[in-house]
Amino acid sequence: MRSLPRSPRAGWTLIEVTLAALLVTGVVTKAAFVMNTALGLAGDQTASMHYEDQARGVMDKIALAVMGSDRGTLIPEIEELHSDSIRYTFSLGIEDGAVVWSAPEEIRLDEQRLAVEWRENPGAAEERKAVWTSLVSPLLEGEELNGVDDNGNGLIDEDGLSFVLEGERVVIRLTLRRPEVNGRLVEQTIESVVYCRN
Amino acid sequence: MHSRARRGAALLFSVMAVMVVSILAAGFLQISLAVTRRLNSSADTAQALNLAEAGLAEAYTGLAQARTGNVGSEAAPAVFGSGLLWVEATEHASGLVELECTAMYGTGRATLGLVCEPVGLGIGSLGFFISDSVRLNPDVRLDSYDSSQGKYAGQVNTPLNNQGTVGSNNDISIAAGGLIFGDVVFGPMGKVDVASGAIVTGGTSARPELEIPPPIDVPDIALARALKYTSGTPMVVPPGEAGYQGVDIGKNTKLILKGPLTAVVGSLSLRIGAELVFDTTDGPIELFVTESLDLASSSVVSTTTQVTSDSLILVAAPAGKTVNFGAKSQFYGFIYAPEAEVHVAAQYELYGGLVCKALQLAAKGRLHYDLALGATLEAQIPVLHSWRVVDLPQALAARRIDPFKLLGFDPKLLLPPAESHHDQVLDVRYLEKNGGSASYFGSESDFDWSQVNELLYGVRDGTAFYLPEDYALRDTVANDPLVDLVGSSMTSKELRDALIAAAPVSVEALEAACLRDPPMNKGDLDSVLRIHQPLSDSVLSAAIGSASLDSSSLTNILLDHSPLSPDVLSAALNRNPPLSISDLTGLLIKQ
Repeated sequence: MRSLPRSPRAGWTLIEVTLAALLVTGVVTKAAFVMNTALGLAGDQTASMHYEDQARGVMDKIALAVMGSDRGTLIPEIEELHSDSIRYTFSLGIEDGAVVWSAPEEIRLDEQRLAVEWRENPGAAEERKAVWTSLVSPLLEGEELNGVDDNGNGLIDEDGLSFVLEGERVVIRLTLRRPEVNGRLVEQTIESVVYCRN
Repeated sequence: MHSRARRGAALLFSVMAVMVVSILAAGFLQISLAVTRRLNSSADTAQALNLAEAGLAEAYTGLAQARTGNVGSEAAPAVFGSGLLWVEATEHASGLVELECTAMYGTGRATLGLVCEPVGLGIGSLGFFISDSVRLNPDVRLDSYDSSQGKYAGQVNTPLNNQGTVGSNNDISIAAGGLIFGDVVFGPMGKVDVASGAIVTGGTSARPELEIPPPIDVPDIALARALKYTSGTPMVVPPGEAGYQGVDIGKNTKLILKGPLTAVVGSLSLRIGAELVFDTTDGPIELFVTESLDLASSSVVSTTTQVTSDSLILVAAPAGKTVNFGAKSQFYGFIYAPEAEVHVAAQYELYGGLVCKALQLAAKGRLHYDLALGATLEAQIPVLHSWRVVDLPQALAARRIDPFKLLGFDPKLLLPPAESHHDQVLDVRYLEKNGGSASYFGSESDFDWSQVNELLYGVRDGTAFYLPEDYALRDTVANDPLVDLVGSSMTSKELRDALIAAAPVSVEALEAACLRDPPMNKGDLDSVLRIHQPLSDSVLSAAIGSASLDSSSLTNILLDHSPLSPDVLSAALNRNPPLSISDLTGLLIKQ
């Protein structure tokens, strides 16, 4: 096999190599920057979705519990004021020909652990409890502990979980919050209005 | 030209760049898909909850309309809003009904439950009900009226007169000449036998299940010694509570029960010429009889008011005991004797209702069911006790795919919830799209609701679900039972007797009798028309067009109404076949 004659000017000059290196470095740096930004955004979006999912899941649980509760047994009974906990009983169906009601249950904000806690027979010896989420913000999104309605929802210094009774309706507000690795704060707030069916 | 040794560097960078972009794009796509999946799942669950709520509402409303509460089934669910649902109703011994609706939409699943209490329709809604087989003797008349709309007499031949119900858990037979203005509902395994010459203006059907009248709860009232009263001064039992081991009202003496009163009597007998008065002017009377009841044929029972729910006779006599209502009476009240055999004389005319184990109703007996004893539409709305979220059945929760694929249904072949209620016996009267009136009695599944323009009256399984307050004021032609009677297969003589017995009948019934096909006999129609004189112009016109009357008979009737109106005279002159010359001359002279 016959080899091609090698040109004496083959290869890159120093200037070409320098320019190529600079160009490659620039492109790679830019690409890395773009990727980092994109991944950061994706991470934020993922985190946001994760919290939204979690918030919705928790809110659905709370809403269904309140929806099936007996309005007459809701505690606290005071209307228009916000509370970070609610006690209720709900129907279990018919047993021996009569409607059976559940043991009292409670959904509340554990302010120490910033968790939404569900408890059955609260305070009793046979109490059972479960934590539905531990990402609750100390205060609802936009609110500050200053005695003023900062977020304009008509409530003052409401907690990250709040219940407001309005007749047969219960307005539930929940904010989940968590600082990310990069220092950004991801917050997700969900509000739901449910009617007590019983 | 470029050197061959420098080719390929740009491609390397390009490939790297494309890979980076592809990886990023794939990542974003995955995130986007995950978001979409989550959103769809959440939306599907919300939709399934809404469907389950809709299903519960449909079943709950159905209960208020005398339906069973079952809507569709897992084997044949109802389709609604691109999802499917079914409701199972469970009736508990306590009377509570538990409804559970399972709904499926996309990947969403939900089961909601509701406990409610259908309003007890009460025994008053049964009309005339006999647990055992019953044979109605010749020429009895059972019909209805609504005491809240006025007196019985004013409702004869109106739609309200045609809603009586004769029910049984066994067989029902109606002897010749019996007139049942309404429906006959026999037992689930029973049958009905309507003799030739007997008429049932409504429908006949089997009841879906046995009707078990509840036992009587006799109040705990101390009983005084048995009393035999023979004084000429009426004996008055004052309002409050009273109890006697026995009361024997002697010949030509009088017992007055003054309401509000609850009285318990062991044995009650009314001798010949004795009188028993239910004075309900100031309140209702409940008379419990625990041993025997004998109202002699020459005695009299009366009520001071016509409020049928105010006079109750509750016979808690031992099973098989016979009680005798032989007195002469127009009794406005309700007789309840779930274990007794009741004998009712023809002269004991009952306005209200009767529930008993066995019945002997004398020939020509008259029972008029008071529709006011049944529940009103508003009162039939079930009482809601509780609502709850029910755990999903494991089998349904496991596979979250399109429900139509999962269960193998074609949505086009499934019915909407409103048409998926379990089948029941339907009895409706309605106006059709073309304005004509019609009625239907039979399985609801065989009835085409689309032909109904306006519902006038509706009953499911013997329970009224639609009875407007102004029903009695509506056009009586639409539902005059006697018009149906004229159109029946009765013989001319039977029809004559029925129309004379029911006199006065409506103009429409007389017109129908004149124009009947096959025509009535000349003498029969002539008798009916004569007893209803004076006749209206429309009846005279119908008589002129009747094939029943010959020239002589018709002329006699027309002469009785001369001078005739121009329209009637014109119809007489143009009659085909024409009146005879002599009859026509006589008629013109009388003008």
